[in-house]
Amino acid sequence: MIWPPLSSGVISVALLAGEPAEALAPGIQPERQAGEATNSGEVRQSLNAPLRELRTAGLRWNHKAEADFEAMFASDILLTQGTIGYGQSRGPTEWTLSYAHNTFDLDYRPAPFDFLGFDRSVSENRNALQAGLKQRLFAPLTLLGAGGFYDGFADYRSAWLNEYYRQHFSALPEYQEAQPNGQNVSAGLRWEYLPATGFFQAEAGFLKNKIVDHYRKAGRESSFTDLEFLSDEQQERFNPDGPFRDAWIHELGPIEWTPNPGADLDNAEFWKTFHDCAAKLPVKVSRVFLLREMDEVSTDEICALLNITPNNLWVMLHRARMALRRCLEANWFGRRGGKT
Amino acid sequence: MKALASIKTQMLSWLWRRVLTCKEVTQLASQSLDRTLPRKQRFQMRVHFLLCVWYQRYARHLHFIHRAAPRYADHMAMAAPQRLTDNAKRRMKQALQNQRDR
Repeated sequence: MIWPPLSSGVISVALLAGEPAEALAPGIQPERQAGEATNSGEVRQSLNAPLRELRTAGLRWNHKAEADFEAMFASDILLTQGTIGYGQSRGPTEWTLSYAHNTFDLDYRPAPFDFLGFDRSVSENRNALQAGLKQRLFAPLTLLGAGGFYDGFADYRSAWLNEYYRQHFSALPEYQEAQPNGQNVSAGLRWEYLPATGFFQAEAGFLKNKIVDHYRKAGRESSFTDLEFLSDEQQERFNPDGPFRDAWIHELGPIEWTPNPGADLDNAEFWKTFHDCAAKLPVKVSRVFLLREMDEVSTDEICALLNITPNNLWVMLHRARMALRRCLEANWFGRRGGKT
Repeated sequence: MKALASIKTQMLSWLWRRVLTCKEVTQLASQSLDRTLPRKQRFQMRVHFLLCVWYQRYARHLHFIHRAAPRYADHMAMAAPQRLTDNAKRRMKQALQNQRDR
C-alpha cells in the first residue's frame, strides 16, 4: 500500500441545475424579497402579520439537483464515489438530501515480516444517506445542521484493517465477520461577515460507529465449539484462488439427486444411512443439529439452553448440514464415490 | 486475442468480486432456515440462485434434509432415546438452568 498515492489521478464531474444565484448568495436574498413584498400594494395589508409570514410571503421554493462522480486510482488502489443530491430553499431556509455510493478496491499486501498474511484483492462498498438543513437566523448568522447514516466501511483504511484482522484471527472460534455501519449528526454556525464573499464557519459533529460495540460484545462471548470439526468447512471443494475464488469446483459440486427423493423417506435403508451419517458428527454438533432440526426447538431457546451465541449456533448448524448433505450424497444418492 | 481474453477475465472477476461467492451463499442458505435474513442478502441470494446451478441443487438438498429430519425421530428408536416431549424439554432446560446458576 502506497500512501499517500503519489501517482494518482482525479476525475470529477459535477452537474448543477436550479438557481445557482440562490446557492451562491443565500445571505442577501431574504431582505431583497421582503423589501419587494412591502413595496407592492397587495402585500401591504399583511404588514401587521407575524414576522415569519412576512419573510416567506410571495417566495417560492427553489429546487436544486446535483450529481457527482469522483475516482482516485493508483497502482494498487481504486476508489470511486458517486453522489446524487436534491435540495430545496425558500427564503431563509434550505434543506438538502444526498445519497453516496463508494467502492474501495485495493490489493492487500501484508507488511514486511508478516508471515501469516498473504496477498489478496479486497473489494468493499459503502452506501451513505445524508440530510442537511440551513436556517438563516438574522443578517450575518446561519445555523447549520446535518445528519445521516452509512452502511459499510467508513473508509478504505478500515477495509484494509479488516482484511488484516481476517487473515490473522479468523481461525479463532469467537471471530465474527464485521458488519460496519454508523450514524452521524453535526451542528454548526456560519458567520457571513462579508455577504456572499467571506464567511467563518464552525461545525461540531458526533459520529457513532456500531462496529465498536460489535467487537466489545464479541469479546464477552462464551465459546461452545468443537474446534477440530469447525476448522473443516469443505474448503477443498471450493476454488482456492484465481478469479473465481470460493466458487464450487465443478467436479466436486452438489450433484442432482434422484428426481423424487421424498420417496426415500419410507425406505428403512435410507434411514440407516441417515443415522450413520448423523452419528459421524461430533457429539456437541450433532446434539445441536438434532435439537434444531429433529425436535424443532427455536434458535433462541437453544442459545439459552447451551449458553452460546446465535452466531456460534449458525456456524455449527451450517457445518452439520453441509457434512450431512455430503455424506448422504456420497452414500445414498451419489452415483460417484466420495470421501465422507 | 490473448489480450481480449485477459480483458474478459478481468471484467468477469470484477463482477465476481461484487456478488456473493458460492461459499458465502452456502452459509446464508443454512441461516435462512433458522432466521429471517436481511432483505439485501435475500436479494443477493436470489441473484445467485439464477446464476449458479450448484446453489440450486444445494438449496434443494438442504430443504430435503430440513423436511426429512423431524421424521428421523420415528426411525431412530433402536439406536437413540425417544424424541423429547415438551415436558421433558422443559425439565431439561430447568436442570441446565439450575446447574448454571449454582
